[in-house]
Amino acid sequence: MAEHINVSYNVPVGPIHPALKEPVNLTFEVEGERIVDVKVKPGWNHRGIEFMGMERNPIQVIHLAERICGICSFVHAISFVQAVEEAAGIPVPERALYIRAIVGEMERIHSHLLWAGVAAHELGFDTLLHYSWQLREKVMDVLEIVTGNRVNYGMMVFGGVRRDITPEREKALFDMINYYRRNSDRLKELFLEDPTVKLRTRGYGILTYDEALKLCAVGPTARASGLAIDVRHDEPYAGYKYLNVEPILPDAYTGEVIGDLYDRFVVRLLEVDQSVDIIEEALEKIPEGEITSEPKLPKLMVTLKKAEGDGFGRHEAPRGEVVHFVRLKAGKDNLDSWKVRASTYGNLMTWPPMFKDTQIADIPIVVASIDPCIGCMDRVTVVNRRTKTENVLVYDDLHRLSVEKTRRLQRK
Amino acid sequence: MDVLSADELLEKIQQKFGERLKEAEVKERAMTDAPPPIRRVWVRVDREDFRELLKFLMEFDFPHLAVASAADMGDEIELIYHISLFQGKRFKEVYVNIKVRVPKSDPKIPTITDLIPGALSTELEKQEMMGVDVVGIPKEKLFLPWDFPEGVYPWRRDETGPKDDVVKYVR
Repeated sequence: MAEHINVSYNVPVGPIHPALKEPVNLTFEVEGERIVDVKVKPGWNHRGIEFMGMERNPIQVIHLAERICGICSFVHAISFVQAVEEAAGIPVPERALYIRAIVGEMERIHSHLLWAGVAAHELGFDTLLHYSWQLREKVMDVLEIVTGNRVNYGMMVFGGVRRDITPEREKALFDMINYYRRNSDRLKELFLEDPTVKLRTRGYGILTYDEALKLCAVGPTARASGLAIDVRHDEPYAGYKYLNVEPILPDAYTGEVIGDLYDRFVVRLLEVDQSVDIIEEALEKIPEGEITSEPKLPKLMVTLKKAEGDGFGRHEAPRGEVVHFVRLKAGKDNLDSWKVRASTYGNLMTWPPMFKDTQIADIPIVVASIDPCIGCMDRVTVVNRRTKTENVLVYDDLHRLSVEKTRRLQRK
Repeated sequence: MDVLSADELLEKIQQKFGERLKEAEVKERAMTDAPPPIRRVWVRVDREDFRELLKFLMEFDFPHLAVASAADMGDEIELIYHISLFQGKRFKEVYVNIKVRVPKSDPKIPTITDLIPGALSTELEKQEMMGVDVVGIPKEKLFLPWDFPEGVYPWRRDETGPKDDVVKYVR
C-alpha cells in the first residue's frame, strides 16, 4: 500500500498574466485543481516614475503623472495637482472644480466598461466583450470632444483646468448621458441576469468585510465586500463637494453583501449609472466663470519655486483611492519628494484570500475581478514540488480552461 | 464609536502624548478647494512612540493605511504613514499623517503588519527603495527585480542612491 503523500504543486503564473495586458507574477500552490495559497510578485514593469519625477519640476511632472496609467490617466494628474496645490496654496476657481469632477466621472464610465469587456472575455463571452466595448466608444468619443484626446487628456494644470466646457461640448455630454440611460438596463441584464455568469461568479473569489478592512482594500473591491468607503463621499474634493455621491454597495441590487466576484460585477455596473447621474447633476449646477486662477505658466513656476511644504492629494479612481504625497522645497525647481499610491497597490494584498479554494480555471476571472492595473499573462509554469518538473502552460491554455469551465456549466 | 473632527482628534493625541509629540498641527486646504475645507492632522513622533500612537488611534476606529511615504532628509529618513479614520462618513473622514524619523546610521523601524496586515506591501517597498530596515518582515524584494544590486536605494539622495550607470533614460 502506497504511503499517503500530500500532493501540492507550485504554479507560477506570469509575469505576463491572464487578465489584462500587463505583467505580474503569481505563484500558486495547488492541490489538484484547488488553489491553497498564492504569492504575488509585482514590479515587472517598474519604470521608476517616482525617481523620474524627483528629477523634474512640478509642471513637467503633471504630464509624467498622467502617463503612469494608460487607462485612468486623469486620476494621477488630479491627485498630483491637488497635492501640489495644497503645498503651494494655489486657489482653484469653482467652475474648474466642476470640470475636474466631470472628466473624472467620464473616465470612470470608460474604465468600468473596459473592465466589463475584459471580464466577459475571461468568462468566454466574446459577444458581450464587443457589446461592452461598443458602448464604451461613446464616452471615448465624448472625451475626445471635451478634452481633445481619448487617453492622456492633458486637462489638469495647477489652479484649474486647461479646457472649458463650451455649449457644443455640453451638448455632446448630454447626448452621452441619454445614450447610457438608454443602454444601461440592457447591459445590467446581460451581465447580472445571465445564469452562466452567475454560476461562474457567485460564491467564487470571496473577500470578507474583515479582510477588506484589514488588508486596506480600496474602491469597488472594498465596496463589494460591504466596506462603504468612497473618497468622493468621505472627504469630498473638487466638484464632489456640491454633488450627490453615495458609496455603492452590492446590496443595492441583490439585497445582500457576499463579497464575491458577482458583487464586484454589481458594484462596477451600478457605478456606471451613478457616474452618468453625477455628470448630469454637475452640468446642471456648474457656474460660469474662469477655469484657472493663473493661466501664465512662468508665473506659476515662480510661485512653485517659492513654495515650501507638504501636500497630500487624493482621488477616487475607477479602481479606488489614489494618493499622491508631494514635498516642495523653497528655491528648488524640482520636487523634493514624491510618493504615488495607485489603487491596485492598495488592492494587491487582497488577492490571496480571494484565490482560496478556487480552481486554476478561475484564475483569469479572479485576477480580473479587482480590475488590476498591472498585467496580462503569456505563460504559466506548473512546478511539481516533489519531482521538480515544470509544465509550461501558455496564456491560451489558461484562457481555454476558463472558457471550457463556462461551457461545461452551460451544458449542465 | 464617536466620530471626531481633526481638531478634536489632535487634542486627544496631545493629551495622551504631550511633550512626546515633536510636531503637531491641523493643516487646512482652505484656499485650494471649495468650502468646507478639508482638515488633516500632521504629527511627528519618535520611533519608540510610533506603535503606541498607532494603537491609540486604533481605539477610535480601525485605520485605513493608504501608504507610507519616505523622504531623504540628509542624515535622517523621514517616513510618513498616511492613515485615515472614520471612513465611510460624509465630510467626516480624518487623515492622520504620522511622521517618524530614523537616522541613516540605524534605519530601523518596527513593523505594523501585526496591527494592519495590509501594511506589508508598503513596508517592503520602503525597505528596497529607501533602505529602511523594517523589523519583523521578510527581507525580500517586492517591486525591484530579484537581481537588483544590493546597497542601492533608488529614493536616496546620497552615495547609496542610483548611480548614473543605472540611470540611463530617466533624467
